[in-house]
Amino acid sequence: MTRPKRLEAAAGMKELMLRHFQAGWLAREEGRKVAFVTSGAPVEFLHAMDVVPVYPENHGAVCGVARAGGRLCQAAEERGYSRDLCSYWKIDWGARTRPSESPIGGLPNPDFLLCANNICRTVVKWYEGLSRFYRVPLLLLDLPFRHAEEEPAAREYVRDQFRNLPGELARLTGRMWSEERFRESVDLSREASVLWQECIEANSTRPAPTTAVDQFLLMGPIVTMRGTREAVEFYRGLTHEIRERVRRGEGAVEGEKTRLLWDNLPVWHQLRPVSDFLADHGTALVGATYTNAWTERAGESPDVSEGLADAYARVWLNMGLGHRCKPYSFGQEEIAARLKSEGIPCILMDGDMADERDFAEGGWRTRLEAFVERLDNEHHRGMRG
Amino acid sequence: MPSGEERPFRFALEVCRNPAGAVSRWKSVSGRKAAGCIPIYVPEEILHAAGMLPVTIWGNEFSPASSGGVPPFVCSVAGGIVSAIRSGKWEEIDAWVFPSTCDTIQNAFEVLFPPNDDRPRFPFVFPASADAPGAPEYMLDRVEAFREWAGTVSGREVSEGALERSVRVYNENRKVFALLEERMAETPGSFTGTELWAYARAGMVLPREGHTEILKKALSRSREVPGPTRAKVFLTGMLATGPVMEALDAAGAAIVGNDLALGNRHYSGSADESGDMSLSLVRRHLRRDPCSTLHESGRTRIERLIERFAWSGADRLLMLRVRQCEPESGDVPDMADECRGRGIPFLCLDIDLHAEERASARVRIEAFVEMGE
Repeated sequence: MTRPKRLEAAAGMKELMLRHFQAGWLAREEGRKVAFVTSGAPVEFLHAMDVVPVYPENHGAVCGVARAGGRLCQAAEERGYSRDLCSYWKIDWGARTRPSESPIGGLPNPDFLLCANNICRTVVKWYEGLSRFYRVPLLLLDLPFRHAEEEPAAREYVRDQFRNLPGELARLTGRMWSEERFRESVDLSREASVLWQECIEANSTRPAPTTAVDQFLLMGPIVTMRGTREAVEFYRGLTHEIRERVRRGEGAVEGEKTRLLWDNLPVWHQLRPVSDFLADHGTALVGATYTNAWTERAGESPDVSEGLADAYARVWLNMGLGHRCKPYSFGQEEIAARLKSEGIPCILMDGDMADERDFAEGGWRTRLEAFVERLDNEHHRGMRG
Repeated sequence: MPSGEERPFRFALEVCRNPAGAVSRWKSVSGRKAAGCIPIYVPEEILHAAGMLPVTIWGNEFSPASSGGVPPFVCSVAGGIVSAIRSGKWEEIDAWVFPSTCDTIQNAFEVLFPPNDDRPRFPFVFPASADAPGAPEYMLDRVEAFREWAGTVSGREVSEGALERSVRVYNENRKVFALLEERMAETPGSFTGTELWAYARAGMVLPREGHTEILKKALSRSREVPGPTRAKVFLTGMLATGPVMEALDAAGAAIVGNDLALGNRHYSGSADESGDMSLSLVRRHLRRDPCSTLHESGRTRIERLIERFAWSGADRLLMLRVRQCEPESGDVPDMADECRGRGIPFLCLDIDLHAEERASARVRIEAFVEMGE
């Protein structure tokens, strides 16, 4: 079987992520606070106050990759959470009661919570529950849904909340707000996002130097370590490796014939099997809508908080599909219909992002085989034509 | 023929059975437009002041079309709405309002309308947090934008005077509905669950002035004081369905309180009748109790629910969870714990508007009512 070529940076990322998780556990000994944060929250504010951010969603993905999601979801369902609830949420609950089932031993207890609803509204109820469970304060950033044109009032609403955040963080941490550290974190965040965007956009070359599966796995630092030097260093190394591949004309998939775009959250527990299957058929997953969400960055504004508010305001556009991720998935059938009407082949596959119980391997394989066969035929027809 | 006392209820029931027919009749008599409001929290006073009929659509007005193209992870409320609109139902509706209730409804606004459906539509995004800095200013901007849109759609500008009159009409309606709820708490069994459901649902279709009259007539009846009831139930969740209410009635349960979106949450809280009217609507919204779709720091939905439960004199709590509704589902385990800790019998009953498991629901409700007897 032909597999996609692995990136050397992947090994470095595992170590980096382990250090990130350890930082959460060591925070108290170092006199630092721990905050649970949603993936779209402006973490730069936390770095300014030396708070260690911990991401339950990212932990859900890690459990998904390790195929521990099903057991942890089951634990949450035994507590009374319904089967149709977001699996990240359920995994988070499950790991609190059965940390040994988590590949990283669960998460440390938070001192407070920072929740931004720009990724979905489900997180609000999730974090309200966390606040009750841990008896810790919850800071909610209400970032209104953007339907079409941006409303100046929405932007102002986000800015108002961002302006209020330093005072709240000072109160919760007992520290003085550091504008200098904040600016530094925003700059680092911007730099990492620029590098990450270059990694993604490099796949516009043929053959694509990486796959979307690489991107899914390598997005860990941009999600969880935005605003840190470590993230910048990591993406600098990754960019260098990708540039080299482009320079050598080296593709991640040998004999790349067909290029696919993945729309929706990754199905974490099936990343390698799907990627390997496609690579074996000369098909490369060259992009994903999901990974783009972390290319947004603060504009150059004299008021750093204002520039950051605009960047986080823009993220809403991108978030919107998994089987259990209702906001991301509702609308995919319409996208598929539109693509088909424009003659672009597409396939809709059903499966939960982190709960491997909601995935039918046989069905996926049969459908993928048929799809790849069709693409092969079209490729050959194109060659003949 | 129903007796004089039964007439309001029969009329309300008829409206619930055929909301589209009621809207159609109103339009042919008034010659004005109807606006479809997706649940929940649309400031209807603005539509009323623009001379339109606000109609709340709950998704179970029609049988879902098989070609609805609704994914299985969408709740039956949103699924029913999408299916009806896509299959050309609700042609009586001239314009649509989609509030930012949840992820599914927000997305529905983006994806559901067929390209040839050019009816005006407005996404009413309201703050999810009642006490976030800037929330009143942001909501005021949205209310003003909605006001302008409604004026354009109806062809009648929403003047301050017209809005003030509409606020009074709605306040009067809420006051009378509150009297109905008070009566149910004070004299358990004075109104059945089916009556509460029919009156609440009909009010989301009928003009408020007419609905107020119906409620007044219902309240003026001289019914015999009912005998002791088997259970005093507080209902929580998005909505109850007709069959669930019938099962509660059949089991001998009295509804003494509720915080249903198709119920108390829709009718509670008056708006100020003086001052700036847009601001008055903003204040009313931000004063709402925290719920599945509104956050408030320092006060939780469960705490407030327990306070209201105690006030109602209920002896058990029934959570009606629409399947696939994430905002409502998340609180269930903690709600159950809270009830257990206080010795309150609690049941969470899953409902699906288009696949109601009536027999199973009936058995579970009967067992629930028997608990602690």
